Amino acid sequence: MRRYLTDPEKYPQTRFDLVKEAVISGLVVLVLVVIASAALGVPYVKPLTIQQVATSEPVLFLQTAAHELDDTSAIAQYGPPYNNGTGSLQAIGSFHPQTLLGVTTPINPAQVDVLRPLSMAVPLDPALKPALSRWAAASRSQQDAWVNAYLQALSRASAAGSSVQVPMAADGPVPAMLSALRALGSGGLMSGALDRLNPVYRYDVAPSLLFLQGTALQQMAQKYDLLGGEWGIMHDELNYPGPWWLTPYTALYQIPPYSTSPAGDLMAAYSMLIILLLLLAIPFLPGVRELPNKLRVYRLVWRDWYHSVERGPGAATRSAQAEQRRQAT
Amino acid sequence: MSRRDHGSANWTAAVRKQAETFTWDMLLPTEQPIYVRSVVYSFGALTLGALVVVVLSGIVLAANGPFWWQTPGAGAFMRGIHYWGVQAFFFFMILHLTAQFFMGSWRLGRQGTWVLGVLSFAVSVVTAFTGYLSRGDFFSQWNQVQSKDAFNGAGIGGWFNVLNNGQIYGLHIAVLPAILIAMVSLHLLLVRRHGVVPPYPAENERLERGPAR
Repeated sequence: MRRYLTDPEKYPQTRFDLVKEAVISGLVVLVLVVIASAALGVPYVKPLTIQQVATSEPVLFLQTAAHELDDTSAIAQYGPPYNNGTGSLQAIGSFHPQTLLGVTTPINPAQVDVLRPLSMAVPLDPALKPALSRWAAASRSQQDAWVNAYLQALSRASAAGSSVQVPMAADGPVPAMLSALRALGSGGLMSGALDRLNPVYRYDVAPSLLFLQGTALQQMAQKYDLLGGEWGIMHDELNYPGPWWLTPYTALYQIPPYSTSPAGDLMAAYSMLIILLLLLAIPFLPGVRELPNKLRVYRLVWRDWYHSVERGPGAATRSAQAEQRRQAT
Repeated sequence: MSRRDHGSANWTAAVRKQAETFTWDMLLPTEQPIYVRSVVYSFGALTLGALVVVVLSGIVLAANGPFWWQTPGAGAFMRGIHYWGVQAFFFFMILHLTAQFFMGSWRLGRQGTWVLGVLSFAVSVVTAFTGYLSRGDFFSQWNQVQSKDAFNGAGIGGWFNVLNNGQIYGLHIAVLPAILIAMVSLHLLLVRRHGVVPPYPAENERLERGPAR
């Protein structure tokens, strides 16, 4: 063990109070952050709610709900861990770790986001019951036809503020169902009806977030320049510093192939893992571990020491003696 | 005594031996080598100071709960201390890491200290990220829906479910800090046990020894 310790004969010792240094360091940081918190405040932007979308973006709400009902939303097609789809399955050749753990958070968007909330709303709106029964009794192709007709009609809808007029179409019970769903949303009851993976302790907000995750959150993120191609999380926090320590990771998303490949996330994650392993391995990599010695930046850190050894009293004599010994050997 | 007992005695004996050779003077030295004279040596202590501020402010936040820290006033102020503390923590930690690289601090048997330092940095990044997810504002929502694709694509989303606030909050306030504090403690013990790394040989010493590694 002694070999690790610095040689007191070669390196003279000076008095040192580690406790004092630790206390001063802690106090310096505390004073700095208290001043920053008091003077600059802290970032906060109110979360987006389904209620906001239902009232201020009624067409978007109805489109989202229609796609969820018809299993044509991004989440319905996503893949693990939500379902067995392949829409968002990332793979490099046959390497797709996304499938490794399987479907651990099963989400059926039609059920979770539309049909279950509506069945919960039946006691409040008994007229819903026949619409739901008609939907349940229809064939899959009939359901698809209704939703397609509804989506086409919705594209010609006229919206004024929170009200929306959808033209008549051969869309069966869909308008009644989705209007009732929007009523739930604009009343502020929908996220409570969605986040019921455990009906009492609602820690898991996957259903409501996945409902918002498409256009609604994208629109709001775009307003704040938070999209991935805009360095996303880096300027999280608006005018406050974001997690700037993620710069190398976020930088990957700005360049091909990360920015262009459908497996960009997978490639970025494993690239960062390789970088971490390289960082860990620096002391063991010949060439790399000698870099500091070659770069000589350390001479700034220990400049007083080198000054005393190389130019201080006796330095010239020691150098001459060393040179003599070197030549003698 | 069975073979198993022997094995047990061996590792417990090893722990005892470590305890015997590791003294309070190593942990809290009253002397340091003369070359320890640079602002660079403060970066590690400042990182630790920031970690203490972050942990203490985090305890106050956890004790009062999410509604408190999302409400203007004392809660928001304490969240500000936590937030700026994290900024200071990463600022000083990256300065510390960079400086230790240029000083070749893994030399002379100190590789483990470097490895633990880098691992602490990696765990800190994940811990901070779970904090961003736990704040409960629009940024949390956005980071949740965006990062789910990254974690799912990497193959850990099936367990590390960023949409599950309960799991992420638990990781943020208990599991990850416990791992981080353990790693940082071990890192500090190794720093104290091995002493600060000596300078690379001076020019006149190089003449004597040849190039240093």
